[in-house]
Amino acid sequence: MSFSYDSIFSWPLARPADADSRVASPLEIEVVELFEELRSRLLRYLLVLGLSVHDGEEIVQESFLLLFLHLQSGKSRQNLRGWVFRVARNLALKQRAANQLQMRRTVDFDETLPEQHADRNPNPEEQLRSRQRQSRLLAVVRALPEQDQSCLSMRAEGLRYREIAQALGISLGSVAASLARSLEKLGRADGG
Amino acid sequence: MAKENLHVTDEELLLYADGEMRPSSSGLIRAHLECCSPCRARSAELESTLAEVGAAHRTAWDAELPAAAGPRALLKMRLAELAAKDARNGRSRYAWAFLQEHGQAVALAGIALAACLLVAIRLHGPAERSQSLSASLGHWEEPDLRLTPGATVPVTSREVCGTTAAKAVPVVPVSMRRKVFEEYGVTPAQPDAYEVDYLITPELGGATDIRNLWPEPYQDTVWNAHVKDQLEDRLHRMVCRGDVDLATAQRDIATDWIAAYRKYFHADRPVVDDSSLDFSSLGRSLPRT
Repeated sequence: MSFSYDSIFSWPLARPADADSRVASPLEIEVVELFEELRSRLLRYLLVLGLSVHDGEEIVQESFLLLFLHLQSGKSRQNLRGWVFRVARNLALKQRAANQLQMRRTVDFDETLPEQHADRNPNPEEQLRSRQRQSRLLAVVRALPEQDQSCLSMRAEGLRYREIAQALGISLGSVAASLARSLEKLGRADGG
Repeated sequence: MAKENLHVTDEELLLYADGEMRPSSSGLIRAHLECCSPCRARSAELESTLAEVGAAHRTAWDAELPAAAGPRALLKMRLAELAAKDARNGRSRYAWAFLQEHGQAVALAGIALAACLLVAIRLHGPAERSQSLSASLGHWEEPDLRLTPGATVPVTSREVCGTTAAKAVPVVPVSMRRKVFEEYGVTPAQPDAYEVDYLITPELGGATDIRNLWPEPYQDTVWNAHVKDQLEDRLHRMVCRGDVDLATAQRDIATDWIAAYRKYFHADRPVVDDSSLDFSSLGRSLPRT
């Protein structure tokens, strides 16, 4: 006989009937692939909204489980990235409201930024200037109204404007207007 | 600004750059940009500021992001559970209808299949098994940090030390055990050789989470589960005495528990004269020197 012990045990019928040891379905694989594409982007956005990494990770998980159910029930496949951001955002806002007191993080960019930049740029003066500029830009971003911050962060995460519109439940025109407003403030801060 | 009447607005420039203008307007803007250098410059400025903000945003947050492999494994497990629950609901209906029609045939086929399997396992089981085990054992004296980066629950050192119940380590659910094995590629024939162990023990605030679990070989390695227990006990005592803070203990044990052992025991190999060691349970797992 030619089959080995291992191959017997990977034979579907010899395995426990319980579904844990079965092969993942195409839909599960698709969701995991989308997770791989979006997880860091989503998580960074949730951090911008003021969540802790721990809560952020949980919300990312929940969002993709909801995506699985959404797709499983045959609902629209249009603009899935916008859909995921929207769901995550709604969960995040709910979570934030639930523990508003602990959640409101004041992130000390000014402390974390210098270290991260230290090894990237060999020229110290150049380094200092770009670091200061980044801190200044982020300070302006942090002072923006929440929706404007969201637009900018999602744009920073590579979302298209129609995806941002879907995520925030606003029109394309509103996304463009929000970004134009923010960019003007950023430009002003830069000049002054 | 004279620009507002004669030129393209920032909103339009942004939408145009993102390909969201209607073809007719898009053509007009393209034509305007071709002959208007201030608008070209403005468009470039907007996009470059956006790019800069993007870079600053990512740099600022990237340091906080944990590795993706653990969360991915967790998601896979949860998806499988979700799909299984769904399949059970659907499948049981089909299975029942099928059995009502073909009950007898199914029973006979099942018996025949079971007999075949028994014979096959008898003939080919033990030799193959010991081979594959010895080939793979010992690979995970330490966990794969991509799969098992460690995960904690938010507790203080006082909570960790305060309760006597802290000793009671929660049992890892079967479905989670199975998923851990799957992530590490342990075949269904092998699980007996492994303990699904906590990387950060619950006594130090470790979470029952797939990101904090890995298949640790029971025996036959120098750095086995019993040795890790020694380290956990020592770290727990040190945390409670205030010799080391909880976060440091968690980080050290999660990053490289063997290095942590060497550090806290000041020894290159597992020591055997620790008071907390239970000699009766050690058996063959003592290091062979």
